[in-house]
Amino acid sequence: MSRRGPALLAGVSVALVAVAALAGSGAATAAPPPPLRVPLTTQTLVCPQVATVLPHTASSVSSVLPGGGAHVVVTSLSGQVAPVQALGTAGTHWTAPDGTHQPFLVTATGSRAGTLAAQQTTITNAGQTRALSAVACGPATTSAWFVGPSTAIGARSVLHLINPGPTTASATVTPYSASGTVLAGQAPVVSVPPGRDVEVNLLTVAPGQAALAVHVTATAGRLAMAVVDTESAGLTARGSDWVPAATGPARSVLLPGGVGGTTATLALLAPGSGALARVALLTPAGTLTPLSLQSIPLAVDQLVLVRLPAALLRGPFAVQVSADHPVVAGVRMLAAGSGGTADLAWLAGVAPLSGPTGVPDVRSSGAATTTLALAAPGSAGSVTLTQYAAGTPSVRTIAVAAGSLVSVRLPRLGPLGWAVVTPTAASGPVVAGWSTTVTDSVGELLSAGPLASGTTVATLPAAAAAVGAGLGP
Amino acid sequence: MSLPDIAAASAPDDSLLGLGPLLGGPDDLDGVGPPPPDPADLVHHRVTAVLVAHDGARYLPRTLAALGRQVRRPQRLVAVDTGSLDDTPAMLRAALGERRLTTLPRTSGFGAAVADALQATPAAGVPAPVGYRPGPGDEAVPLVDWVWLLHDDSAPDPDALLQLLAAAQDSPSAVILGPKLLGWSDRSRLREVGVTIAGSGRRETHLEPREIDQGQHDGRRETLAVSTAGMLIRRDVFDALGGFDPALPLFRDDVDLCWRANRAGHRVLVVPDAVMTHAEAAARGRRPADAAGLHVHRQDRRSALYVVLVNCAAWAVPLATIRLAVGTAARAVALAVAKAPGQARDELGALAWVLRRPGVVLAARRARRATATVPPRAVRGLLARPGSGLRHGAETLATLLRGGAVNTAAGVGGHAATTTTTGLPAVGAGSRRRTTRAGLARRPGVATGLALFLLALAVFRGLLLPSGVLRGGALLAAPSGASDLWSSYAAAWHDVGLGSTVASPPATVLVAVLATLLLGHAPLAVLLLLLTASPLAGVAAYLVLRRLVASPWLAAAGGALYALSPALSGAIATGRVSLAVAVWVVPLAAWAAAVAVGVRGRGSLRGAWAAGLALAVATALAPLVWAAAVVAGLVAVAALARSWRALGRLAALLVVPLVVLAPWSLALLASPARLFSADALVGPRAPVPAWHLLVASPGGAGTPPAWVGLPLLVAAVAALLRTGRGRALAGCWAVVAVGVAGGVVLDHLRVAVPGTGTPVSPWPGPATLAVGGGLVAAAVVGADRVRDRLARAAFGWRQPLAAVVALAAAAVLPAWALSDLVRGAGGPLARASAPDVLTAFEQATLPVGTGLRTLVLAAQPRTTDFSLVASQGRRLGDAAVAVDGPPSIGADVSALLGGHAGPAVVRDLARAGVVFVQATAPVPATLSQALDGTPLLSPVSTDASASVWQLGVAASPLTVIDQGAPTPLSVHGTLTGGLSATLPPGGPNRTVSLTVAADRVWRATLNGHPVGGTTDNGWAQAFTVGGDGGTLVVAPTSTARHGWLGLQGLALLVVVVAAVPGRRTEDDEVDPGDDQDALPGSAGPLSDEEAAAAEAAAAEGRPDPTDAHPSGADAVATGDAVAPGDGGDRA
Repeated sequence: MSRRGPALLAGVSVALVAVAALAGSGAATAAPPPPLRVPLTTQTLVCPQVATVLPHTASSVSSVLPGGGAHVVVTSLSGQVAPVQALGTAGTHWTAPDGTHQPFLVTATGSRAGTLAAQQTTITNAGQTRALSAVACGPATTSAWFVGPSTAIGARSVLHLINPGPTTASATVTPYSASGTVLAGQAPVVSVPPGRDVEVNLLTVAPGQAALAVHVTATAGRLAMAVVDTESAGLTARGSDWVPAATGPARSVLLPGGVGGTTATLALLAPGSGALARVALLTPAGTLTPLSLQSIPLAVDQLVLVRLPAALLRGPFAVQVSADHPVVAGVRMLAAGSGGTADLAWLAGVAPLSGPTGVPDVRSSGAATTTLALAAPGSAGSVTLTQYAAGTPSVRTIAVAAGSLVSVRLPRLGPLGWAVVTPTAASGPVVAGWSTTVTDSVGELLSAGPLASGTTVATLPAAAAAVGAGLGP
Repeated sequence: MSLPDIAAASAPDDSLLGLGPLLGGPDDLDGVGPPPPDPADLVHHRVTAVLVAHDGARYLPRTLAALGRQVRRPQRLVAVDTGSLDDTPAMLRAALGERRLTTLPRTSGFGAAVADALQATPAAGVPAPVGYRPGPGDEAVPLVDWVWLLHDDSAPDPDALLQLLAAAQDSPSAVILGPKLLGWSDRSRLREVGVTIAGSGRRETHLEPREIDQGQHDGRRETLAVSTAGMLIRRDVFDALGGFDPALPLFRDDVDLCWRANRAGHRVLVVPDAVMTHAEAAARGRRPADAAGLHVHRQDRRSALYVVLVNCAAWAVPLATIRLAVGTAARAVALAVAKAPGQARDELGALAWVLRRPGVVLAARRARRATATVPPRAVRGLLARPGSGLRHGAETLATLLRGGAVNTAAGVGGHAATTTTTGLPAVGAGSRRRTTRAGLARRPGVATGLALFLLALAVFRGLLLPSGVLRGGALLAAPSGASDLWSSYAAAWHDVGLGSTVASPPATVLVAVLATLLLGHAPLAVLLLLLTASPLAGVAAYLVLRRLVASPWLAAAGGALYALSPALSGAIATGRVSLAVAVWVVPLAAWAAAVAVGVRGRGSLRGAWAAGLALAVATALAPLVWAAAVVAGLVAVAALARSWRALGRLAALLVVPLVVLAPWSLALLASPARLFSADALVGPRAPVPAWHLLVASPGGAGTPPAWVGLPLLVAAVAALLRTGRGRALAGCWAVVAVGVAGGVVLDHLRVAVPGTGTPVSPWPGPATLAVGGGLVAAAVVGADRVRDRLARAAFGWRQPLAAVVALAAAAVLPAWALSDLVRGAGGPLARASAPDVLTAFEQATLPVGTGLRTLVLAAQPRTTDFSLVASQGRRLGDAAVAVDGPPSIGADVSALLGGHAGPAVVRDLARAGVVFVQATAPVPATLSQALDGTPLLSPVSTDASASVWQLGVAASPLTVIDQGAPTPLSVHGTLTGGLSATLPPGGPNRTVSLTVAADRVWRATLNGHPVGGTTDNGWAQAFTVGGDGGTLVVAPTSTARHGWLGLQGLALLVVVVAAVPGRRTEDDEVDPGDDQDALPGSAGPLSDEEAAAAEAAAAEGRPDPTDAHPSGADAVATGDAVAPGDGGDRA
């Protein structure tokens, strides 16, 4: 072995490197474990307050399981009451008996329980609290934003903190007003025993504010949270409704479900940082960008109220807020009736539809009209709308042009009617909202809100057992 | 023929002695010391010389010639031959005549021979010295009779007797006088200048091995004893003392006699002016010691024990007995390990012999009391100082360890009939020899190591701080004490995660050993291993390269380049302690293996065992080494196919690590992913471009940029141009090729290491270390003698190119290292404030070792890592034994992270012993929100480093489940030591669940009766109990683990015994005719081994402190010093 042996071995080394280089150097970063996808086999939604006090006030709870395949039960919060009603699959409707005045739980069990949608509707025909108020029943969470309730004179806003869990939960309530964080540094902590509904009158937290944004954070346990705002002028009802929970701070917020002919006020808040916001209105005619709303400065933690130009609100609308920093937004709509009466409704930001989404209560008594609003903020969207009347589906596809809004008036479907909205595979992002109006002798009663998609699978963050967890840099 | 005046200072008459042919000319008188004392003063000393011979034909001519040249001759010379089988009787007869020669049986002892000779030669029959005239009347000077004892292999200088007598004249109280004994063939070596005895019975000369005579011991001194070789003793005293003790046929008879003389109030003098050369032939095993029979060693030890016991003070007898018994046992063990079971048996046999004969000892003591006139304490000052035995033991051990040769007799207190030679490759022996002779500037290996150590100190100065805990990267905090490491290694169950029964890695033992040597300071051991990695790597590489190239400086430069390998700095920066140690162990082990298999020379099976041990150490540190060794071994099989012996050695070499490291090695074979537990700790890394592997750059924290290695690659490639070193270069490049291949494989591997969910991509550092080593070696081989070769070639492009390449290769990497010196090392490894991330509150709340834990969450970019951490935190070695927890825990954690965790999840975690959930900073808002919102979980604290939540469920290590209803029990004790709880009575079918993963090691007893085990919750260890209450005790059983450890210890012992140097006689090493003082010559680049061998041989040649007498046959001569036939006795 003279000179050839070593040279051969050197050549082998070089060749190895060349082959390795051609084969692509090892992607040294190993793939992390995929997120854990856990089917949600049970889902409990909390309807904050079902109250039926005949003859004036009547509540009902309706729920939809777009996929079916699950078992739905309605129980009272206390749990001491046996299942109030065990209903079948798909759409249900339950009218609360007389004397009911407490939160109710709608629990679905089954492979598609996660798509459960439920709504609580209360109508009060007369008196100081004459109003139509409806709200989507929501799950217990750890954080919620409510933008718009008022603690001004004549207004009474109540935060419901409902603990469906088995252990005491607690929450921190942080109110924001036009002058900034109210009670900065001493946000009240509310403790909620299991199975209890604790009401917090926001007057005690931030009195005398025309409008508030409230951030509620669970510091222990999870809570269902809801805010109801009831306004009156003396003995004259000025309306009442639930303020829907808004999406958390984001740089783009869409609030669908606006009803034409109302007085609409947009409340904007940039928590934690100042922001410059720009507001557009999505209407059936396309996107309107009022000049006055093109540049709204938002100081840190200060709630800003913007009157939407009435001239542009002749038909259904959705509000689109864009900002350079994350903002939360809410819209307060006021439909005036005769004799100084009025009714209120709120809109809140919502995420685009991600799957079959139930529209629980399209059946209304008497003169109720429910309208579905579909807005496509970016690219064109299309959804299929499936309507069930007594179990018989009818399907239609609705196209939504980019930057515009389509309003669909849902037909009356009878006592067991519901609808399901499903974005098609090719659709761009579509946000959906609903509004219901009832016209009585005094005037129009109003309620509105966003439609959020449920999910059948919980995507849990990946967790990897690592003996050195936390020791690394 | 008339009697010449033997007292005259004239040259002897050769013809009278009949020794003509043996005598040299007058030159032989040159070199005689200072002018002799006046012989005229010595005429009243009558000397009878007794020469005892036994198979001494080889020495006798010179001895007789020397006797013949005495300027002051003895009045009579008698000889005793103890049954010699060679020409000894004939020689004596020729020199002395028949009458002066007596013959005794071959088994006669020295003392018996002397007694016999003296009996045949009454003092009265010896003529008075010429010139002696008793004075008139009172002035008469009486004749003083002396006996001069001589061995056949001891040649006195011409004035030896003269000087002895002069000393006797000067010191009338000195009744025994002895000369200075020098080496037979090398007069510069001191053999003895008086001897004494240690408490162990060992003869003590107070001389260094091979000490050179520079007159440092000259000057007459009182001593306990002198050797019988040249002993001059007053005949009346000799008779009064009864001569030599017949119980001592051999060994220590001289010490015993002189001790008795001292006790009788006499003095023993050593007279260095009198010089004898002494071959110590019997003592050195040059001839059989027949008087001792087959068990020379036993006889020696028997004499040693006997002499101590019969001569020591009465009150000291019990103590001395105990001391001798313990010392004997220790020596027996040492000898057994040194593969001298016969000698070990002899040790014990000698002890038994002495202990079984109290009567003999007591009788001897009585006899000594009769002659004693002074108390024992008067002699105490002449005995060896206490502790000299320990010092000798330490020296012996040191010699053994450095691969030299050991005189077991000297080291173990016996005689010197056999020697022990280690056959290790004697790495570094040669350089060490040089270091003792030259300054630092001439010790490249030492200089390199020292410089690298200083560099390491400077670069890692941040790690030297005394405060904080050294951890980070792959390094988990070391426990405080070595005992923790030992117990962790011995433990059958480890408190890691939910518990693990995986065998501890043997690397723990290596750290534990060092920590024990450092008085139990484990963190210091870890720091030391990291700091010395680079210098030791440099020295190790130097020692290997030294065998490849001629220039030590070139080898040193290569060593430094290897020590600065990017992979090594990366290994240190990421806290890979094992790899940092393997860096220097592996080259040595590889070289030892190559030598053992026979890459160079013959190889040896013993070497294979030793190399197997070295490979086992390397494998324990870097298990991939074993895989590489197997690959190399398979390649070698082709080359070795012709030799079954070599294949056997190879097999032994490869099997030793597997056996010695079992069961860990077997577990590793079953689950190779564990190889990469360090990588899993360090975490994900950036991809490495393929060409980086070729320049030995693995990337990662603490490594220089890849281009730094380019000049080295160029130099290694340039070495291919070199002719004549094909084999060495092929070896180097084979290492490179294997390293590159390994690097490519490692880079592409995705390994799911148990206990660490995310698959990791192993760091190619170990492979690039091999590449770097191979490149350095190739470059060094290429540069070897390059100057000579270039000088021969005509000046052209070659010379400047070579200069540039050499300069770049030698300078770039060190320059980068020096720039590190300025920056200081960065990396995950750092001083942290606490051993783990748990807060003080958690540590205080979680009782240690009870199975209560904190769930530590650490958000990663795309996942969240979690770990169950006990109160004491994660410690060194934990990662290697980690196991995957039950999947349900992972699902629980995911639910927790996703905010979907309900009470069931929290209760499930509590059943796993979780008391706290801790998220390390930065805590994502979603995570803290999810945890805040989890029912039964309440926040405890939040600071800059972590947020902590506490579970609102009563947690206990033991939970009794009665019809699905769990009730936590309050417990005492710890899991490893036994956890006890009071179990209340309850339903008939209950289970008690423990917060550890189910494993067979767990045992429980209820009121002392064992209860059956089961599994709870799908993973937890549980026990089924009935309705009865009582005391429940839960503990892991360690029988199996301890059994394994026992087997491991046994395997280790067997291999060590097979590997430690065997016994060889001196004659294997040196020319039998030589006194083995000479060193074999050594030359050339490969001379270190030879030098080591020489050193080994030299070590054997040291003066033997336990000089045995020319045993057995002692030749005899009767006859006058004057002349045979002429018979002074007839005068």
